[in-house]
Amino acid sequence: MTMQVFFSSPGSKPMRSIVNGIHSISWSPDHYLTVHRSGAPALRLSLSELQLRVNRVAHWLRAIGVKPYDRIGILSANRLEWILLDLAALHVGAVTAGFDPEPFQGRADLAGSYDLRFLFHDRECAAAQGARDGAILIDAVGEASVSPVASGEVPPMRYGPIDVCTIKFTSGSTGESKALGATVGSIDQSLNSVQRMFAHGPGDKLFVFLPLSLLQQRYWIYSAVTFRHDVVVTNAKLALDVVRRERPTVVMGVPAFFESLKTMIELEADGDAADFRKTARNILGDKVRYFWTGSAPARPDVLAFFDDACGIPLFEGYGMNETCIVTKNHPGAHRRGSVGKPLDGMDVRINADKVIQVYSEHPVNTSYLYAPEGASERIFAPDGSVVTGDLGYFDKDGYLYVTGRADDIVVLENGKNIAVRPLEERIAQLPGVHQVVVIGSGRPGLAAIVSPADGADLAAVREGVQQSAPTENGESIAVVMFIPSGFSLENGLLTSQGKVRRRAIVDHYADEIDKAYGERS
Amino acid sequence: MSETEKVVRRHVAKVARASGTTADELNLDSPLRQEYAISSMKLVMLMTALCNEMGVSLTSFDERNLAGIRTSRDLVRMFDEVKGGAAA
Repeated sequence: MTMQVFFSSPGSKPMRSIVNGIHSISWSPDHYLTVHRSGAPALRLSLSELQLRVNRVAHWLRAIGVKPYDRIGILSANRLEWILLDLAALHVGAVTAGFDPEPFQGRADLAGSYDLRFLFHDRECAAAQGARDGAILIDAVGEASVSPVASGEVPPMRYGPIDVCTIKFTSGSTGESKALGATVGSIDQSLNSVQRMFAHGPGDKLFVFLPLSLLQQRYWIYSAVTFRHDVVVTNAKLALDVVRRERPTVVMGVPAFFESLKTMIELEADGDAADFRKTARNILGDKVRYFWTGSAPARPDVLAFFDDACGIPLFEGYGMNETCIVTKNHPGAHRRGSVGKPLDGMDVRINADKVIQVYSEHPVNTSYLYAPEGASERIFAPDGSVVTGDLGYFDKDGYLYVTGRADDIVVLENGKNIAVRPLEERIAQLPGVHQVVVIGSGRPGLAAIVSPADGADLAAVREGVQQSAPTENGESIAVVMFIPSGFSLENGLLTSQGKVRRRAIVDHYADEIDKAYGERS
Repeated sequence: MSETEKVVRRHVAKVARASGTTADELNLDSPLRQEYAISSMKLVMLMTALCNEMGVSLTSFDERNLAGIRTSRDLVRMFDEVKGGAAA
């Protein structure tokens, strides 16, 4: 396969091991971790107090028999104990496996399938029952953090760059969930690069609400400890409420959150565009300096709203579990609509199939730890690169644009190949459209499966979708199908990161799709 | 009409703008989702706005409280209880 386009980051920079540094420095007494969760008062403790508690938990982990390289599962919503356990595990050298409770709590085989020595859980569930003697209610971590410990230090683990300190689980947007170990070198590389771009420091307060089971959300805790700034952790349901109380400088989110925030600002400003900037500041405070988004593409109108109407840049980036953060817009290099330039240590190429291929100085890994047969070979190339499956191109200045998934190519009955994502993005911006997926492989024409917005005029939406600009191949939407409820995490049609599960949607609505095409013919 | 009810009426009417219902016309016992097209995402925004105006933290409500919201009257009751608890 021939590489057609090649862009690489500037030469690699000397790298500080942030993971090793966490337990060899004194954490700031002047900066704070605040945790908000439903039905409980907010917890606020200085980072130095956090360090004291983490050390006690490290002692406790050793006392209950956790040894370096032992694997411990954490199945819990965001809470202080999650953070204590993660940091203590890093200290003693245990390998964490973070599980989003919703998809994993029903799996009685969890501990066995992922070779867990212990499973820490926040709820009674099949996964906990299946772990038997290895199941520990996560509240015990909180108790251990305030209990006296035997004298003596627990020596911190010294990691090498290819040591694995945690296991990541893919969201399963392309099929069954897969797991891979994340190397310390990849974490250090990402955190160092992010720090060079954003210079988080003592004046900052980072706001985190996505599940801590996602490694990148824990980065911001490691960043707080290392670069001495505040960090606030909550959950998605509380995020809009907590964000206005905490007045952060940075909000780490996903497009769906920023869409909700946009709606909230518009409602509070009573739709008066002149008031958006003031209303945004009323809600978020006057210290916010930027928003971070990734995981899924942000809508152009959302990017423009925050950038232009509110004066708060929303920085998109690109990455996946298998690559960590690959590119990122940032204050020093921002081009709206792109996902930014490659991070230090990342070489990004567009291969002959127009697929983005990523070479990293410190790869996350070179294969999955757990995956269906053949899955590793499909994404991890023999030369150590990751064949992402995402289509993209660079502009002349080196900004990357992601145009869709190679899987997003629909091959019609007549053999025409259609990249449907640009079409979906156009349709999604039509009035009355809440969500949309365009399908058509093996069919005579394209079909749009549309979840309408509340109170939408369906006839007008249908007309708008059918008149939406055709693809480059001249194909427009032949069939419009409305569905009563949207794609969500709960119905299994969205991943936890907000991406549509295209194949699952086609399977879920198979009968309705057949009927819709049938009515047209 | 209590102060809590007035605030709830005003905010529900605002979030349910597409339904054309005014604060005065709002039926406190009508289901928010079916009658006023208030989806789960809009409910989070509504709760956030109510908490902000009433000086209550959303964390005061546990998951069961939030999952049990069906009508505007549920909202009035929940906020009355929390405010009563805070005052006690």
